[in-house]
Amino acid sequence: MTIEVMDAAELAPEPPPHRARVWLRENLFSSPASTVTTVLALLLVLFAYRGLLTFIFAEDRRWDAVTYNMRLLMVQAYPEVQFTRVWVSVAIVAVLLAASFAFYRVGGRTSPRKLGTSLVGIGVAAILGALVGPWGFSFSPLGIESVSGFAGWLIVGAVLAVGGYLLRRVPGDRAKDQTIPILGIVLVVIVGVLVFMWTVSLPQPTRIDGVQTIVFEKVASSTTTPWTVIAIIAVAIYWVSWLLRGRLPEGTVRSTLVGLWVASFPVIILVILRDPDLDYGRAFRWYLPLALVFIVVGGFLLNFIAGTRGEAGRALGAVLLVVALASFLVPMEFVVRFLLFLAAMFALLAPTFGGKGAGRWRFLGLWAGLVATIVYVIMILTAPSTVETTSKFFLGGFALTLLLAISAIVLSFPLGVILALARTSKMPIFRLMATTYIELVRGVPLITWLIVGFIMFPVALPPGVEISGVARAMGAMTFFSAAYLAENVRGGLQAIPKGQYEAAQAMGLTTTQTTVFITLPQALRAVIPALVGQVIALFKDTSLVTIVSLFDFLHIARMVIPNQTQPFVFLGTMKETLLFAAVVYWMFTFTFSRISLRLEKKLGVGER
Amino acid sequence: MAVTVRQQEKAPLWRNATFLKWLAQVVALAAATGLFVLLGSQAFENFANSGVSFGFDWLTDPTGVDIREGIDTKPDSGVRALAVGAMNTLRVTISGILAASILGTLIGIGRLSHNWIVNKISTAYIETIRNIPLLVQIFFWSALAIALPALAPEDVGEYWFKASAKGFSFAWVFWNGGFWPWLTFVIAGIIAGRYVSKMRHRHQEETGQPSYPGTFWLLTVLLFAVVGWFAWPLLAFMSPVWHWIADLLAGLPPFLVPLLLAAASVIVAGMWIRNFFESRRTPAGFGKLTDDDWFRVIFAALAGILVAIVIFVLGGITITTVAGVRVSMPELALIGLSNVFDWLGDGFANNGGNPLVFQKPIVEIRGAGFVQYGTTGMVMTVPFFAVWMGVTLYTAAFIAEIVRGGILAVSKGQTEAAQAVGLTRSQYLRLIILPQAFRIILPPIGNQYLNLFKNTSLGIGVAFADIVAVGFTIMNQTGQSLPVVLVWMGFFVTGSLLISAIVNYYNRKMRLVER
Repeated sequence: MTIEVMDAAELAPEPPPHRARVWLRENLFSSPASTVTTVLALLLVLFAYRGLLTFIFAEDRRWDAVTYNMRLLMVQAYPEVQFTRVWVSVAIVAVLLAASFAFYRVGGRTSPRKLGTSLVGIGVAAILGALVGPWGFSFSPLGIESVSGFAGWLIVGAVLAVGGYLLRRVPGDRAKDQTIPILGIVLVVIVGVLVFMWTVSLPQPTRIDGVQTIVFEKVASSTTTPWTVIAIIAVAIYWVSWLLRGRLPEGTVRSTLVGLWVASFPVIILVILRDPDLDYGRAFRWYLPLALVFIVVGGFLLNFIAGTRGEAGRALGAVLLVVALASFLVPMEFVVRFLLFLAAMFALLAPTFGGKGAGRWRFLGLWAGLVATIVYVIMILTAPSTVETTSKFFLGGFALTLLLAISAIVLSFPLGVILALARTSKMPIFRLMATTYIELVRGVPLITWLIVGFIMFPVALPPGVEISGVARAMGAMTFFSAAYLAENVRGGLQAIPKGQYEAAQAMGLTTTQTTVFITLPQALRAVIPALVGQVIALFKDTSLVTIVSLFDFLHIARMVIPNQTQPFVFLGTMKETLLFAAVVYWMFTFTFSRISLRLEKKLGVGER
Repeated sequence: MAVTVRQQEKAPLWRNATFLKWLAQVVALAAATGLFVLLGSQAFENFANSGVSFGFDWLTDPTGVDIREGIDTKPDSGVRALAVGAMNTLRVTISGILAASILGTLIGIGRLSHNWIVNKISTAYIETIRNIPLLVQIFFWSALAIALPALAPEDVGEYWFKASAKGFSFAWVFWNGGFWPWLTFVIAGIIAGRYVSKMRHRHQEETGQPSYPGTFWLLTVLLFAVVGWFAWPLLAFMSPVWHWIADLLAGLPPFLVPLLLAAASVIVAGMWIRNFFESRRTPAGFGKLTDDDWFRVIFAALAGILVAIVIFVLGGITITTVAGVRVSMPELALIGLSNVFDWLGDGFANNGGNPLVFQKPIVEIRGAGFVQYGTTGMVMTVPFFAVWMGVTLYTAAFIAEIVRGGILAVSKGQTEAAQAVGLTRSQYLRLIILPQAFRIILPPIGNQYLNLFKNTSLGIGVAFADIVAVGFTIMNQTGQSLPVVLVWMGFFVTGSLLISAIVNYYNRKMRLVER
């Protein structure tokens, strides 16, 4: 006899009509103690719900402090004339998301029954809100008697609940087999929101002849057109990708997408948002020849080194390293030193990774690409920005939060991996250095390191050298996060069975090759959920930069808006802005934690 | 068949893997040290240029730091101010750990509840709290508490509990004269209780009769506590003894302190090396020691000597006290230690009263019409409340997930076996499941305690006077950034080590004893 393990949902027979009563008895009133608990918990929920609604819809709540300052919260003082740049950046992300959704087949399907259940749930919650809410007074937070809150909540709740109930009942027997794509539901919601933005007017505070009044306007009218355009483009891209996905080679498409994602971040920040004011004369007379010389001469040199047998190649690499180190003693542009150093590293790695035939070309291509990228990045970093803002840094608000989080994650990743390898290495001094670093950094709170970066580090710089506050915060967060990341990666490295090392040895791989091709990929794969957890923690930790007075999202929500007197007085509106900040942070971290859960299931970590 | 064994050629130095590895490591170490030396010397130069001389004099210099709450609100010296900050950090850490453990456990069990609504509440709590940055939560609690009504003249009176924009005040139990001798009785009771409970355990095992070891333990402790409540003046004779020890310490020659500490460091290193050799010993003599092993031995010896040297160097530092006298660090350490014993001596003196007193808070008008909380009762200021609430709720969400995971990780067979031998639900939960879950839960919970300890430093955002905020103020006033950061590191690393030591101790105690 074989026992088949089936999904619980598959196994369960179609429930009988009295389902609701049975469900209630089993889940809420199974015993006297359970009944008492249920009643108490229900009271707790109702009181909490009433408290929340009272808090949100209180007469003196100033939600216009949030809506009016939305731009400040998102990008701080980014100039209005250059706002197209922000929308282009959002569009790039939306396009990449749409394409990735299509090619990675993201988004499951749900049944009308489940959808109906959710709708009924939301409807019941809204009806309850009508019953417990503080509707003794007006509905609008702005003091306008537009619609009675009680009736509004009741109607919306009833419509949703009835709609959901019908959705559960009407399709009858066919409902079992029918499914709806979740992305379709998302599309309906997006279209709904856009229609709402185009058609419905809500009261907005404005200032006419110095008097603060309230007029009826469309919601966020300045953003309606861009959002609509972006939504149309994204949907079109999704549709095209969906059509193409069977016809293009999947591997190529996916690696291209990953490459685009990686490239999009620096492109958006450095090129689109910062808009460097390039000096083309200097670019053609200095940077272009520099890059060409390094690519061509270095390419021939690397080709030679990779092709030679014996010691000559390594000796040449060592000589290059000495030259690169010596370049720090001679005054010259930093980019040259950097490229010399890179050339030395490539030369030392060439005998191992140079390869033959196509492999050699890939190696040389990597060299050329890296040189070109570095020269380009340094060129645009040294060029002044055309963006004129009143603050020190051209980005602020949520954009700065995202910038800090993403760059700290990206930069701390290689450092963390190196630290983890050093800590698990057999070389005692490396191990000692890595252990000291990791334990010291982890033993002290992040805020201390931020203060070290902001107060102590500038003191240790030679006069004349200045590093901007954002860069220092980035550095502190990177070094901090690297220590935690290293511990995660170390966990993965230690989980690799000894047989893998032995097999690699038996194949004649060197230690470097074993690490790069055998152990590290497995270790990283095993700790992906932990790494996503680290990303979430880092994202939340970016809020700490408000303590050293960088104008990140939280700083604007807590320090800027509650002190605002122009053009409107929003003094002391801290509770509103903080609650809004909490919701935004929550949406991002919650999404990430769901992704982490999915990944964990998909990779089957801990199940094998 | 002839096998020719060719003499292996000795590799040249630049191809010798061992040599290259050591070379790379030494170069890396030298580069890292060089970077630090470079930054450090530049920092010293800049300090010298701006007229700030780097040192520890600020520890005893009078400060203008006003601290809003703590054991002393107008500290007379830097070290005193830092001590107040450290006490505040510890206060919020310990009360936070207690509250978060209880709340976290309840919510963790709630997530496993069969009751749908309890289950959903717990899930909603966890998913909300742990996905919002802690700093936002602390700010939010602070904003909520500050918005409470201020104390008005009509509020004057005595309360059980009073909330206002000045913070929360509630009735609390405080220690009084005779607390320390009474505590001695209670500790003796706990030790005696252990003995009694062991006896009852043995009785139960021998006879099979239920012997209630837990109840007996509790009764013993209670007995000692009640007796001690009345009998504590009997221990008053200890007071002169503590004072005598204090005098003895104050009279010791100061050079003994670094000498003893340095000797201890060298002895510890020596013992570690001896144990290491012992652990490598095989019946055939000492096993083969690898390069790595030798490195460890040499490093341990070096570390022991280095610590000894550092202790002597620190012992040579003298600082000017408030009275204008220059004292050395060892003298300061002796004075501090002797003060502790003097304080203990005062605590044991028979000055009447009960060991514990119960106080209710009052609201009173002080000075020129300022309505304030009186000195009785416990007052929780707004910053303390915000930090405590923040770290408690935040950590509880993480603890709840750990508790849930720990209970789920106990194999289902354990429950089935317990049911099969006829244990009731409460019995098998208490005796079978929870002890096993506890073993799984403990290490990650220790990590959460560490996080809570470090997270209290976010209090600086709402002006909570913890060690980071106080140090930051001193740093801004004196410009002594490096020494303050060193104090922070010392404090947090010590605290972390202490918490991990406690958790590790319990971990070892709870570990399965395997053959």
